[in-house]
Amino acid sequence: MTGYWLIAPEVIVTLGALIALFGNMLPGKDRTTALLSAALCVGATAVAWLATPGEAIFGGLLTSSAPASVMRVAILLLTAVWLLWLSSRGYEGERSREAVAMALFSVTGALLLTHTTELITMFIALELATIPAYMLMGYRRRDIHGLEGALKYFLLSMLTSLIMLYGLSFLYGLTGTTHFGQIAEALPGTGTLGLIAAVLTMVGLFSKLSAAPFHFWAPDSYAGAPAASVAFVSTVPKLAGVLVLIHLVQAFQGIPGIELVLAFAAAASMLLGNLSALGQTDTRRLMAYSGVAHTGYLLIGLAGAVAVGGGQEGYLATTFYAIAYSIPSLAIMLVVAEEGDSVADMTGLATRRPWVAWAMLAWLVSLIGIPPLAGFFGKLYLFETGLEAGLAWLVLIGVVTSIISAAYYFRIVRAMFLAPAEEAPDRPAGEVAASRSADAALVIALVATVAVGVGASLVMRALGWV
Amino acid sequence: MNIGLEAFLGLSAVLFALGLYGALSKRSAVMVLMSLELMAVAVGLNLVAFSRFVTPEAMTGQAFAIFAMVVSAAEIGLALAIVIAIYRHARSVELSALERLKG
Amino acid sequence: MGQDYLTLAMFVLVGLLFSAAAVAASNLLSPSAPSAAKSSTYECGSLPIGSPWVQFRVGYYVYALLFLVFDIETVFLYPWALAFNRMGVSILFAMAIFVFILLVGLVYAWKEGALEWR
Repeated sequence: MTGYWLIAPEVIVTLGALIALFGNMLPGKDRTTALLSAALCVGATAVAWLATPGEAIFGGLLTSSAPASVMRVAILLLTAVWLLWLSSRGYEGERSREAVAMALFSVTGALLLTHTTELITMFIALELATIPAYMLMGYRRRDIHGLEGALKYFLLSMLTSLIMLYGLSFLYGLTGTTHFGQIAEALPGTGTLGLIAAVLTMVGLFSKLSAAPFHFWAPDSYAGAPAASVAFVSTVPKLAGVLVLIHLVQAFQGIPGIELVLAFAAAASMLLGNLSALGQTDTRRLMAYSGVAHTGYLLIGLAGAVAVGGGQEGYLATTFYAIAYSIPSLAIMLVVAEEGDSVADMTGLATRRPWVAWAMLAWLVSLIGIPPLAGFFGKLYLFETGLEAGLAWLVLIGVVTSIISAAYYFRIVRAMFLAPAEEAPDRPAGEVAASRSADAALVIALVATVAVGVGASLVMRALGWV
Repeated sequence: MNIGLEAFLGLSAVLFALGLYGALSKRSAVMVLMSLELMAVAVGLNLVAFSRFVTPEAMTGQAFAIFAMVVSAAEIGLALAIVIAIYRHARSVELSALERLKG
Repeated sequence: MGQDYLTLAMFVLVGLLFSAAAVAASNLLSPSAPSAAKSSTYECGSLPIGSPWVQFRVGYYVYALLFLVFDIETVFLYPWALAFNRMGVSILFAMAIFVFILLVGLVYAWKEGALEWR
């Protein structure tokens, strides 16, 4: 697939979003809308996979690459899983077709973001990926807490977007170009101003990826939003955000001092995220802090890559870990959406729905980083690049906080398997309705977690690891 | 001799700082939005000034400024929609919980 | 360099002086005889009712948002029209796609009843 075929997935997904807005005209309404959109995403996956790497279209605004192709496949498949789940569960008390449309618009932005090699396109794609996310966060219009969470998320995100845009304007002004490659060549000669512009730019991306010290919006807004929305918002746009952060860090790697900024953010995210997660009783808050921590692990790879002067291994390890983290994270939030928002709601899951409890165990194990699942190999690659770059102190923080993280993940495991029934909160209508498509979505996520772990070397080769 | 690039950058920095101060200190969501808009104006000025002084023959900065304006208009529109939805419930647009965000 | 700043400074100065002079002149020249009717808010001759901080109907905002969409569209149309001669027919398709997506949004708003006055 060459030439304008590169944007075929974006076109398919945009058409899907436009169709979804009129989903009530389809037979079967919202359910058909979600299923049709999931099918379109799977179709777009095939087209995305066939892209030839290293090709530029629109005069160099978009450039394909091997990591981008893998990321696009991951984004589309995760979205398909989410849509499959949504087709039967939906949003309680709200129709779901607008959520489908918003998710697909966000995916369009995320897909563009993976190929972008230019500042203006990057900015627009980033906003396209995140603006629909605000709507998903405040999706229950009658829930005042959800709306407040969405507004806070939105205002802070606008603020950091503008700070980033201010940084982008200086990047353009200092270098006279908006193309990443040319910026990378011109930036080392610009001294302190270049560093300031780079840091301002990264503030925006750090905040969108919820890296410390710009993470404080995440727990509040996750805890106010429907868990189904959190499942999407905390994974799919983030995948594209990681890739664009990699592009930018590649452009910035010539600036002295950038490595320290990344290492500081990595250490702060791992420590703050994992320690704050320890005391949480709301699973959405717990996963929000865990997301902060995992962004911290990702940044080890970037700091390591910059420290060795642009090592490809660090960037690929970061890409791999973003994928390895997002699959279990999405699946866990889907189960939370089914079972209830507090950790105590998981009590007795092992007797109520044994296979879901075991699947949860697998996802949590992957997040902690125990072999042979995806998360273990992800952390292995990241820590390896960190050590090779001489950032042993950062890797040490990573290992210690991973062990700490087991403590709060284990609280969920304990609730599912070990807690006596008396600890269960009074549930109004205890049973979660059986649904084949929702269960299928969870099974696919489980298979993907195992497959990315067992086939880690295959995924790394697809990313371009030699 | 013209007014130099530094003057525009200085004005833009002052506008940006005013907007940032307002966004962090105001309690009403609408006031926060107005402050954010001020920051967007500062960025636009920066881009147009760079376009005029750094790349006068290419319009890159001006195109960037137009896209930035459009995106911020879309964001303001959505933010107002959320504010209205909140107002319908709470009859107030005070950001009671914004203090926690200031950290 | 200095001359441009001088022009700017003179504009600022004249602007400040003009507004100050207008306020000062009306204070100096007008006779001061306040009464209750005179100091009330002027609202086209009718009696002011209620607080000036009334809430606009929510319906207005929906119209404002829809207006914004097409307002923004014209921002793109102007540079597009200027570039049309140089860029050729391909950007006609690009703009057609852009307008199509906007129109789908408008039709959606229409279908949801946003254009009906409630």
